[in-house]
Amino acid sequence: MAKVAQQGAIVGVGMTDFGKLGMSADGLAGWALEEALADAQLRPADIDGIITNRVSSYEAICSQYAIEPKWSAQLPAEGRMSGVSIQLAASAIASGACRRVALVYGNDGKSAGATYGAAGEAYGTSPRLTLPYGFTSPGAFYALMFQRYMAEFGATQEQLGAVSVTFRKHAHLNESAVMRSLITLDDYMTSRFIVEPLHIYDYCLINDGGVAMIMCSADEALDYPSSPAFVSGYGQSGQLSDSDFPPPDYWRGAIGDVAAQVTAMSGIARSDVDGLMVYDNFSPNVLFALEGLGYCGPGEGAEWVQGGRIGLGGDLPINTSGGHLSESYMQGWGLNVEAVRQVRGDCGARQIPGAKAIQYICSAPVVSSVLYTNEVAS
Amino acid sequence: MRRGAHARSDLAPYFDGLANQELRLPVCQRCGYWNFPARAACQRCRELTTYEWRAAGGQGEVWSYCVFHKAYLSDFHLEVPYTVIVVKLREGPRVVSNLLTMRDVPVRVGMPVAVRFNEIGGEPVIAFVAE
Repeated sequence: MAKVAQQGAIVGVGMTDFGKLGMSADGLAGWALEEALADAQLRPADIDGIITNRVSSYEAICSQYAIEPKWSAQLPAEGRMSGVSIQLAASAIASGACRRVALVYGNDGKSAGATYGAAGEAYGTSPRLTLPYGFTSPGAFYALMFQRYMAEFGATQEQLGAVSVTFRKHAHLNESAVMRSLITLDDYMTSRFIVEPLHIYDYCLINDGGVAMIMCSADEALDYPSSPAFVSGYGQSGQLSDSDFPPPDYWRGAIGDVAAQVTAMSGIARSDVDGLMVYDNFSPNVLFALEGLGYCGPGEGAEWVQGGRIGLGGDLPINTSGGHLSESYMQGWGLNVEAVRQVRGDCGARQIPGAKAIQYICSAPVVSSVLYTNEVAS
Repeated sequence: MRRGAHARSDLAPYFDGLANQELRLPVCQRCGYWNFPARAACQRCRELTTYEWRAAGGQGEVWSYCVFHKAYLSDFHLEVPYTVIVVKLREGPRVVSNLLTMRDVPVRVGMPVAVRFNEIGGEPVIAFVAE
């Protein structure tokens, strides 16, 4: 039985262009916010709650748009916080603290020259224990995970290549995607390594861009002119003990915990999910997410993604926008917008026919998931 | 008396150990779990704890490894491509390090290794050799 009172609805989404845009994070966030307000047919004054991510401050955004929030929050710039933000916004609305929350994200990583691996950007909590050995960057963390995964389960780099090749096919259909040229498995295998065993095509695309969403309660959304996407389930599970090192279970336990929360809240079973949006900061994360969600057993993800299964027209299309690997690294925000657009039927050439339920999942030291549906789950 | 993470999760005893050719690691005085690094709460029993710093034997196996082809760090002493290993010590904790005998022995997950002590830029570090 779904818990309808906790559910929210997305009534507007907005995105900027992606690329090297020479704009500030706040400017990009504002652009996306204006797009989202237009989509929702709302004015800034209709917003009474705000959550910002990766911008200079909630104050800068509110002041710029004359938003007087009854509820406000700002979360750190990590991508794992997009799902957390959406959950927080839904909880704030359910609690009665506010009616309409703007979720606002801006990222100037390309113009700012972010590498996610320079000494000042070291990964983990104890740089003195990693930098002297040359260990840095989240990509290297996933390289360690995939190396061990290959040794543990007999998976191969060729198998992993199916993820990047498939997402590029999706991006080919998405005019907003930064990388749209098709690639073959051979292109993938002969591409350069960044941190071996991961190739450049296993890495997300750092770009400038902004994303925004407008959320209200599921009840209120029923009166909106645009077709809303209902936030029918969400969940979160931290696995932060010993988080300087890769989790031996590839976060399977935490992902399974989150999946159970989402199912309990929405009343929607895995078999009723029409597509996934997986946090593909690095391609191995897709395998870990699939295993954690229970689509296949531990170590079976690499085989499971073969044969077109995760492409449009397959059993479970994943990242129909091209995802972080080919559309742009918008730290989960872009994937959530794609989920909304899928259940609204707005995806054109890359539409999953009849999509009713699309799930976002981020495997990270804080696992989060959001389930979007085209009707109120009850 | 100081409390909180500053008092509980100090790295100084670890580096003092390295300077004395010992791999001293924090053992939870409540449950006996070998943590690394030390945290305010033990990573197994999750109690606020204090640690006894004990010398580990220095044996372990390669838990995983990766090869850096991109040079993220300016002024780093190794040229790309270089290999970073994560070693799981026999006592349980994992450590990040480099392998000294890389050219002779191809690194693999599960390979038995033993610690060596070294110094880079005045800071004591660990490295591992294949056993």
